Amino acid sequence: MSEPPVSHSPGQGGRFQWSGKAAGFLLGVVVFETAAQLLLKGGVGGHVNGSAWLTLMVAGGTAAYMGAFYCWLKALTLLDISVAVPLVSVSLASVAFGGWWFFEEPLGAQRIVGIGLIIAGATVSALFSREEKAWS
Amino acid sequence: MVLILLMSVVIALQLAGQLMIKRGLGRLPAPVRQRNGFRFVAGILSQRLVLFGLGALTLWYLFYLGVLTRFDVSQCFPLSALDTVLFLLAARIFLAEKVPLGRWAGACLIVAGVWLVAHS
Repeated sequence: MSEPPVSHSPGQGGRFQWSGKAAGFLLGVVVFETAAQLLLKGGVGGHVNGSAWLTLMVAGGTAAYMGAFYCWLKALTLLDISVAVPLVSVSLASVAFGGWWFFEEPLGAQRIVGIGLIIAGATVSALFSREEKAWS
Repeated sequence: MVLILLMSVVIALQLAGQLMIKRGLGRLPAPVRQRNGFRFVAGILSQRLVLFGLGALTLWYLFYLGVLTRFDVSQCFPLSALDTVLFLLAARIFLAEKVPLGRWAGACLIVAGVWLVAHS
């Protein structure tokens, strides 16, 4: 059985559709993934009392991971993978920030610089993603 | 040395899985890609490359869990952070994506940032 023809193939030559919808799905990946990590950390890290809360948070974390993966797949239908990967790396920074905000994990100077570099890297990638649209 | 070898397998599985999914999604007809919800999920599961990609990601997850049982996450995480740059390289080689210099620079900043966070 032959493969269906490629009617529009993002990533097969640098063309992709940068749009509000694509940005929304990438934001969804970051939000869901951050929520998943924090819910799982809250559930299994001894931050809640009672098995009902633990079950709820672990189930919520798993559901959030599924949401993140769905958004990731939808984003990949619109964007090159080399565009999407650096942008969703923001979740590494948001998880580190969330760990400090919700669980009072230490946030030293080195970690703050690291978070700053991740956000700067994603911003630089996003700027160059927009430029490529004009070239294609 | 063993850790580097094992993490190379971890990263290779992740890259292979994501690239197969990406290529599989690109082969789907546009109406399927534009669906939402369960109809979208059902549609993409008809593509063999997407299924192979999901299989590779499942192996990646299990293999990574296995590595984490033998080594500290603080040892593994900085190595896995390299995947941002490797993703760009793989997309350039295997998917013929155009990767401007600025995006390489952005990815290098991200790897440096993750390394700092992991070692803090």
